Amino acid sequence: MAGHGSSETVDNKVVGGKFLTFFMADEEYGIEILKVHDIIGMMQITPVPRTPSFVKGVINLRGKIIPVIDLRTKFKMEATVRDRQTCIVVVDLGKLQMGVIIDKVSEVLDIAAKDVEPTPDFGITLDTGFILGMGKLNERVVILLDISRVLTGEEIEALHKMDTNPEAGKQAA
Amino acid sequence: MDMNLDQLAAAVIGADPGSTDDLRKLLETFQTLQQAGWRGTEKAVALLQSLLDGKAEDPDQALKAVAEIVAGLHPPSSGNANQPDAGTDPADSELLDPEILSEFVTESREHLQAVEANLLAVEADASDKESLNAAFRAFHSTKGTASFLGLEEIKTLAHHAEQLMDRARKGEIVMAGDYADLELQAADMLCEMIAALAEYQGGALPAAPAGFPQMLARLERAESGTVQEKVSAPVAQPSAPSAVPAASAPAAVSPAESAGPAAAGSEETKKAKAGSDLTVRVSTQRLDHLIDMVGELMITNAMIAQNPCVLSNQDHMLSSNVMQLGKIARELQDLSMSLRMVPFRTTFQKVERLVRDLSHKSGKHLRFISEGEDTEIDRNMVELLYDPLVHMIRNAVDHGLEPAQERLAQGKPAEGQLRLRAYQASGSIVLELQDDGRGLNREKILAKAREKGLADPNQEYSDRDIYRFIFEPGFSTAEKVTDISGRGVGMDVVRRNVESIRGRVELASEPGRGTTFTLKIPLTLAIIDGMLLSVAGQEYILPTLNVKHALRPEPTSLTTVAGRGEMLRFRNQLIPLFRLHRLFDLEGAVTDPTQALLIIVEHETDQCALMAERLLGQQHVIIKSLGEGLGGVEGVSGAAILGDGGIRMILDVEGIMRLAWGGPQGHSRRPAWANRQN
Repeated sequence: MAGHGSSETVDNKVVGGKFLTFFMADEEYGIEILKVHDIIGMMQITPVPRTPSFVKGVINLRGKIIPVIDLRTKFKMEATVRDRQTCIVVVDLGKLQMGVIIDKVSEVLDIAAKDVEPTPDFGITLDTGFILGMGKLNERVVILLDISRVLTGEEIEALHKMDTNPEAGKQAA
Repeated sequence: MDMNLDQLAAAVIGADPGSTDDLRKLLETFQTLQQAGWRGTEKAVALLQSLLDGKAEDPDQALKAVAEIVAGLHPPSSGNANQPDAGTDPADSELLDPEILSEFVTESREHLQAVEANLLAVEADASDKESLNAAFRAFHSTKGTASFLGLEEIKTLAHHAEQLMDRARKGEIVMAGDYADLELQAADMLCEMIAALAEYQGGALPAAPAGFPQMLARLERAESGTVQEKVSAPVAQPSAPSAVPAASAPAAVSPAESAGPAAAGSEETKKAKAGSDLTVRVSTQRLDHLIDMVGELMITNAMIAQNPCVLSNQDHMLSSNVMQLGKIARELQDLSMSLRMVPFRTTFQKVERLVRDLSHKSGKHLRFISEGEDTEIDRNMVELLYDPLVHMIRNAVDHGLEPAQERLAQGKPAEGQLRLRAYQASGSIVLELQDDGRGLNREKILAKAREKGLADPNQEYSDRDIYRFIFEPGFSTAEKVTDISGRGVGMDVVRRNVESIRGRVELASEPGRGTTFTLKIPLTLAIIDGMLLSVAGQEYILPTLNVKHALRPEPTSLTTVAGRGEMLRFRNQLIPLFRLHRLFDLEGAVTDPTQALLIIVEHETDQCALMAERLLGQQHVIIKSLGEGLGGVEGVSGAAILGDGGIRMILDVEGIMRLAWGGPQGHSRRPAWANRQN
């Protein structure tokens, strides 16, 4: 298994492979390692006006401006004081890159497909569309995120709509 | 074998059938090739032998046949031996190396583009041997490579196109009118075929486009000279190419063709050829990355230079090195920015071609004058500008310029005139398209606008407002939709494309005298001149282009409407006042306008005053997008990375106005008291 970092994919859902795990409060989450572009320490984030609250702003990643979202706000978790362990995981989502603020990076784990259980159904109280599955490792449970779906289709669409709206308005100019 | 196929072909074409020396040399070459195992040489050897022996009936024809053989030659390594002579069968196509193919595609595209430019130059000035030869060579090289790759159809077409060019070179025909049309169409078809190849993924080769056999037939007919002699009488000069006296050619061209962009045009093209030598193709992505990195270098450099340790250091060497580093970085930045700039020339060439085609299609004689092809502009913008130009020109040809009789009746020259000018003026690029047609019909436009519900039936409009209507989507006053225009799409595209690159369209028109479109576009998309201002502890960049005034208001100059809408009275105008901190939901801002700074900004004809706190300075910044994830944010057009490495939002004045006036329909809901400039 070592050295081959690609994930085994079934029905577009990744069920096993290497994951970068991190903590949010005391829950452990995982992102497919292939989607992780960079892990950087907290840096100055410039707020962008009129964006959803989970969009913290933009950062300068070596000359490239990328948006940063706060996973705590997104998951409606309580905000905490950012400390030295708070960091930004830069993920590649197809053609766009995005920074995700997380509490603490943990490790890179190899999770076999057999150790991944489907997401339990929480009913309407919790939308689990962005969860790939639950990885079980001894006593630990790692929530495997489908990071490209953390922002729901609608949200991405809404973000994009901001782009197209000016056109509609221009007609009357 | 150190002579390549091109040289060999040139030698064959240049050979004098009467000179035994020439023929012997050729024969030797072919014999060497034959010994080296090249296929297809036997026939050439035989032909040359018969020529040398004086047995050939028509030496010219025989030599031509030899030239054709050259095009079909195959080195011993390529193709398979079962198919001597016939060229590579398409079934061999799996042998095509994608890399070689893609090189062929880019190369031939370049060649064919040159064909177009050169043909237009030749058409304008038939004595321009250099352009004629260049066009010939371009077809020839395309043919050579195509034949090497076994692209039989491209080879055949290029070959026939080349043959026709050759006749012009020999002075048998004048490359103008129908001949030039034919050659241009052949070049177009080749382009099309090559474009299809660009998408080739293996397997069967793309089929020849529709009309391919007809095109070949037309070319062949033209080659044999039996038809299409109506535009230009053949110049009786059947002898060797070098013997054609240059001066005799132009006389044979019909006046309508020769009066084209003649002097100015061809001179420009000549200059162009001299300048377009060694270039390297680089993907824009890499270029952008380079520019990003240079930007970062500038920032890091600034950080080092400002570092207290460096500032207070006693080491003279270090100080001078840091300074040197700064200089180099700045120069590097200038250089990297200039890499994106390209001259308008290619666009103008395309436009010239378009005008020519439209002129034929519409039956209106046009005189196209272009100026300022060397004006440079950001490469990304050139592409965006071509579409608007096409629409503007179609519009001018179809609606603006009258048919010849009508023009003559009005005392204008029969030939319509289109003038395209590019120049730099105060930090922007100006593109001007001027026609001397009938001008815009103010009443017709207004009537149509009222019919479409765009204009208030009772309101009076200024000329400027009326001209604005033609930029509305779907707006057309044309009674009938023609091949060229009338669907009402064009002007909308013009405005949208130009605005998307932060440019402006202006229109001036005089009935009976013509219309002038003026596109004002920023020099580059990448840099704007901005004013740095602060609001509630946040810093923003406001494009200086939009700023009219900045002032701290007197209490008496402020009024409100219905207790809410705030207004500033400035030089007897009432200007709506918007608080940036409210629009952007910022806390901790100064709320008393008399303690704040009001900046009067304008976009198109709308003005408003924005309330900020302080002006921190003015500087040029490199615009970057906010990243794909955020797309566009209303009120913000992008972001810039400043010298300290921090990011600032660049304000979009138009978006802010829209925001303030509420929603996407903002402008129609604009309160009545919102001023107009005039």
